[in-house]
Amino acid sequence: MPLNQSFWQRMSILGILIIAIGLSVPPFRAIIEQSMFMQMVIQMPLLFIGGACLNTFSISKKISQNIASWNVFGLTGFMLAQTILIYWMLPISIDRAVVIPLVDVAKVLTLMIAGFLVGDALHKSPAALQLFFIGYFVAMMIWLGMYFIYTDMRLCNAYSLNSQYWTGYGLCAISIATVAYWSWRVLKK
Amino acid sequence: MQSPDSSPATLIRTLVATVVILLFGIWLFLTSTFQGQALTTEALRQVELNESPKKIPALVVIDSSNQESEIAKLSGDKRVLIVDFIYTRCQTVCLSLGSVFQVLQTKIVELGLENQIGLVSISFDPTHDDAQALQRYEKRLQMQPNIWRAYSLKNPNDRQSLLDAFGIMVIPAPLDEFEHNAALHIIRGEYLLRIFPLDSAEEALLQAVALGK
Repeated sequence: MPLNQSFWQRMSILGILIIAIGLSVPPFRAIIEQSMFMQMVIQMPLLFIGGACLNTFSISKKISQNIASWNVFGLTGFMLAQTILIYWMLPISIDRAVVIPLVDVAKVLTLMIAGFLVGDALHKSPAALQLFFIGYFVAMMIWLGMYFIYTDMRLCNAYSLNSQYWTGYGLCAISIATVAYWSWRVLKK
Repeated sequence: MQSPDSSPATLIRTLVATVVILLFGIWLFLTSTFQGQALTTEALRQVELNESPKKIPALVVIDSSNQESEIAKLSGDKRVLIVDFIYTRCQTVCLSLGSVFQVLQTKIVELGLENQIGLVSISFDPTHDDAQALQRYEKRLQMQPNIWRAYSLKNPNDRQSLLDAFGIMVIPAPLDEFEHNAALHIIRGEYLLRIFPLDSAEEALLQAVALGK
């Protein structure tokens, strides 16, 4: 029953987004204010994944068609998503998202947009182009993750060193998961 | 894979869009990191002061004998103060901060800088740190009163203004402790002039001497 299946699919996507956005709304905001792990390893990827899955909705298909002539091979989408993701890897941005609520709103919106653009671009781009962007992103994430694990310098004034240490492992795990998912996706075809 | 419409016109559009995004990304990076100089909040705090000193608000503090004063007036006849932030129950980072200050105290004696440079430890935990707590802390860290003194806020409600004025972020840690960005703050009169990381104590002292001239 395809209709039923897509209903549950949509519900779970909305569920992911509600949890991810909810983590930025008081009183749940305290969770990401206290834990770097919850913000960088749980909330941010959920926003991204939620955004990436939005292309099952008909509105987003329209958006995708409307930007298509500006987005050949998903190149523009990859580029914008890359810019957004790099910005949210900067420790100073993480601190600002904790301290300034408006920055946190920007974080929620831009990460969903980044997810949406990558989800869209994966349907349009050749594997070589995907490998370029995903490979670059994963390399950066692993570097950042290892740095978080090994440095004894606190990079975010908002978070404890202990929280930063575990975030490092989290980022490495996300990198591995990204590579695994992407390889599976390419080999499936 | 959908068959993309990759006519020359759309390809050029896409390339233009990509370049615009790239330029936007570079602009965003430069504006949010103080021209690439500050990837962390701590670094930003330091480089911002290189451009212009920051005025310290008039906050009333007490010393270990319960004498009132204002942070801006602590220097007395000394030219420059090196300030750090502590709480006297601290077992973690303030201990390393304490030992950095002990080294600085020794250096100041060795170089005969007692009349030029003072050391000040200000508590950000005024509800616990009263005059007696400061007294114990001064004793524990073997502070020489003519060089190094400890202070606490007279009014606990001033805590946030104190932290904001210096850019200190305090977060709760296990065992009823705090974790905070510890650094060496150089102040002269009512101005915050420079901030140095803990591992640059010697550089901070040299700068303090230079700034006092």
